[in-house]
Amino acid sequence: MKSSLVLPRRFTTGFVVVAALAATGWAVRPLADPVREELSQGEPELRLESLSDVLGQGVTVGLLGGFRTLVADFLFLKASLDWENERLPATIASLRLATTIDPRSLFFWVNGASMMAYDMSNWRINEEGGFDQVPKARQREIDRVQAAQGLAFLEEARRFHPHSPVPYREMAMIHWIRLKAAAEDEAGVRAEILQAAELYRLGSEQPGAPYVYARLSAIFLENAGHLREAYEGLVKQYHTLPKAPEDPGYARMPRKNPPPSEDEIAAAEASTVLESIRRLEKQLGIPPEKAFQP
Amino acid sequence: MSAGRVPFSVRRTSLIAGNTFLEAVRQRLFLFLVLLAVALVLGARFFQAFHFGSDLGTASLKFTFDFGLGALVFFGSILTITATAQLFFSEIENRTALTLLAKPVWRAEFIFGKFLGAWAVVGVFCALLTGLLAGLLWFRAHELLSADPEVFQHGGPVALGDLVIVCALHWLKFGVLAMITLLVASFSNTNLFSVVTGFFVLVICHLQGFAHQAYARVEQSSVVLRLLIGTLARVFPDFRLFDFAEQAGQVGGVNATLALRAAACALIYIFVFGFLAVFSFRRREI
Repeated sequence: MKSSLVLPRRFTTGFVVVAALAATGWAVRPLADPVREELSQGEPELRLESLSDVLGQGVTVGLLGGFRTLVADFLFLKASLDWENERLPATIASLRLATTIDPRSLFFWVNGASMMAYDMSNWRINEEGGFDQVPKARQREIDRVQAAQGLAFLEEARRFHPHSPVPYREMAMIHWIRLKAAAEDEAGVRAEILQAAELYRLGSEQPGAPYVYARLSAIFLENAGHLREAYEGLVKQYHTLPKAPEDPGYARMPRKNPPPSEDEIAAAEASTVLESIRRLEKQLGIPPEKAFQP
Repeated sequence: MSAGRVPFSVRRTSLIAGNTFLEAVRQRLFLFLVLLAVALVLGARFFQAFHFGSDLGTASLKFTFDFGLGALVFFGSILTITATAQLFFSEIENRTALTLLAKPVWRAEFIFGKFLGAWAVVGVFCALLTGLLAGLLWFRAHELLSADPEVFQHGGPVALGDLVIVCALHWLKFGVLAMITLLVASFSNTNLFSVVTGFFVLVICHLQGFAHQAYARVEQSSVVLRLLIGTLARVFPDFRLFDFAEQAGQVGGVNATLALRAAACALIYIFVFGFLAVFSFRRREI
């Protein structure tokens, strides 16, 4: 008799509690939703699909404790250990988990992409018998697959670091070093060089990008035979470069406050850019009267 | 009503809260957790050796900030759950609750008194660690500045005001957690059950973001599924609302309006969980 009375009472208490909490949850939506929305924009979001399979107890505790940075650092150390022992799946899993937990560290993305694009293709070739045994076509195929994996990893990095020039630089280097070497023919080589040039150009447009990116873009364009685009890119860049008073074009230089430091002027290498412009003018056959006037 | 016709008394509530606070600070657990957390915050500099990219001034300070805040959140959560459950059950197990509630004392006064005492203890813990972290960040910033005057040209250190807001919001979150623990304790028979359930709820509340993601993905046509996930996503508070650590140290700092909204949410949850705990406790036989 007693138990039959206790059960409904507990049940009704539980029901009231759940109903009240659900009602409160709905009621605080106007207050909570803008906060949630704003915080999720600024904060790298933990993604359900990437965490659900790999989240261990220790990681959970780390996340809940707020030690996100440290847990990610230790996971990257684990990835480095796996990389040293050439354990491909484990390295990828650790890299993915480290960047999922703390996508703020560009170090993880850049080094992870390098491991995928350069080292892992060598591991796979070695696993299939070594560079002497595996046919060149197969080696190129593996290189392309691994480079694509590295590029995809860097694409993801760009989601979290949309204004950083670093992922662009790394992507350009993968095209320039790995994919150019893995290209099947001359057209393929040229396409990869043009991709590298475009990525360096995009990187040069990001805030705080080194001045050399635009110059490298022009060099790659020149390499691919696109002299006119290389010339126009350098001319465009020259106007914006910080210069010393004795440099040509100093008077037309956009004024900045504070003015550029000596180190910044040296890093811009305006004189080198001007030399490249003159060289390209000769190659393009531009007459002196139509030559660039800084 | 446990107190007959006697009206609800703030004084009696504060007396219970004061006694709870004194009882809590005398506990070894409190001292142990304080010492551990202080040691961890002070040890942030040594853990920096494991961090990648901490050679930059702002990154170095951000690591110290994250790490110190990690200690506050980790040990704060343990302290909140264990201290609240222990303080509640010590009254039940020692039968002092019987003596107390036999007098004209409301069960609501008992619950809210216990809550305020436990929350005050957690408040002392948070204030101590916040002060320590602020000092550590200030010291480290000056150390970096003296080594390189241009170290913060790409972003300054975390502002003291932001640090205080971030830590205060965590304290409010601990308030919600303490009230949840009291709600569980109000119907549970053992301390252990309350502590374990408290930790489960903590995990659920931290992972509420996943429930919201899942809710957003469910097709509009699946009414039952949407209702189920929607209810699940709303029953437990989302503890991500109180984590403004990412905004601190960024350009513009912590958004004060959003922080106030989050604080209001916390206070609403504290009251709702509090009234539910009283509702449940009133139905309990001691």
